[in-house]
Amino acid sequence: MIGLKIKYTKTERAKQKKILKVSLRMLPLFEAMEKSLMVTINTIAENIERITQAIEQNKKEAAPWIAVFSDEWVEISNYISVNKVITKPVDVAGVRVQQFEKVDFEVAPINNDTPLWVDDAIVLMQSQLQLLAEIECLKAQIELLEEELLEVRARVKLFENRRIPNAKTAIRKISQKLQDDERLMIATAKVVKTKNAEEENE
Amino acid sequence: MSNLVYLVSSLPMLTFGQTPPMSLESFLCEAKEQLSVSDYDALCKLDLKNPDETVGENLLQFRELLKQLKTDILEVRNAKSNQRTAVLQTLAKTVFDQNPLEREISIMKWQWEQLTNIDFGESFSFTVVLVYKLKLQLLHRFNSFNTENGLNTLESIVKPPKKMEEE
Repeated sequence: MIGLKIKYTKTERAKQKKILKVSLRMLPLFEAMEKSLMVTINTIAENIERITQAIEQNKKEAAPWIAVFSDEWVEISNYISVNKVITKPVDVAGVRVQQFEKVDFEVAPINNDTPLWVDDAIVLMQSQLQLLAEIECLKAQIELLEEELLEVRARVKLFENRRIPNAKTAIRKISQKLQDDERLMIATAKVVKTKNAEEENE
Repeated sequence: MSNLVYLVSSLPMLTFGQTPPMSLESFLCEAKEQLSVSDYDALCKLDLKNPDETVGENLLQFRELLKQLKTDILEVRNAKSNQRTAVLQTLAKTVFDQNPLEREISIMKWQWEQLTNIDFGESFSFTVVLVYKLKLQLLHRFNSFNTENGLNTLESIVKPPKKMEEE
């Protein structure tokens, strides 16, 4: 409020009252939005945790046979590669984010000479790559939601610490000034009236 | 013949699952000194990874067995994709209930046993040298199975994908 010039007029008071009314109506909305964003971010973080656990579980299940990946007869990395991760845009807590759909894999054909373990390895690698892609999508979502959360928090603070108190102070000061002006006007009028009456009596 | 006797006698005995006593290169090096050019060429060509084209007349029986093994593997793949039980000719059904590593080792052990049957009774023939090479290949493959290396290989392939595209 310091440094702000206030016009001590009824119009200005009406303007400030309008600002206060709108701000009081907007604040709960922004607070709700902040809460919703926080809940959504937490839910996504929990999902990431769940998927991470699934990745670890897959690793644990594959541990007894993981040694076969180092088979000197097979270059297993030649059997699979990721073409692209397919996503679709969705609105989450009012923010447009990319939702994971699927991974488009390039899988090399398996011929009769390919050892059987390669089949299982491809299934495992597809599953792990899919889960990792999902995590990446969710991390990107969190990044966008956190950016939005920062903006919403800044707005809540602006309303709580600046706009509402400023409008209240302005209204109080304008009202005070208008009241003082009115009293001064009445007092002056009374003095003039008394003076006029005295002059008539003389 | 005497060179063949010398070569076979000088080769260390092989047991399934052991660490290979020599590299394939040093085996071939030793063989080169003792074998005729044509035998050495046939030995060099022989490769268990590609038996159809490399296993010659000396190991016809083994080549047939490998064909049967391939038929079984194909049957397992078909059964899996059609969600039915596999009907196997050569391998024990239990092999396919094992995990991929155990299964691969079982298949290799089966190959080892077939090779042992082939050179049974043969003392100083060229077949013994051929079988020796195939067994050495099996041992090297068996010894390449390593948990830490396997995990590193998987980790190097399974990395977060970067290319994202909107549908």
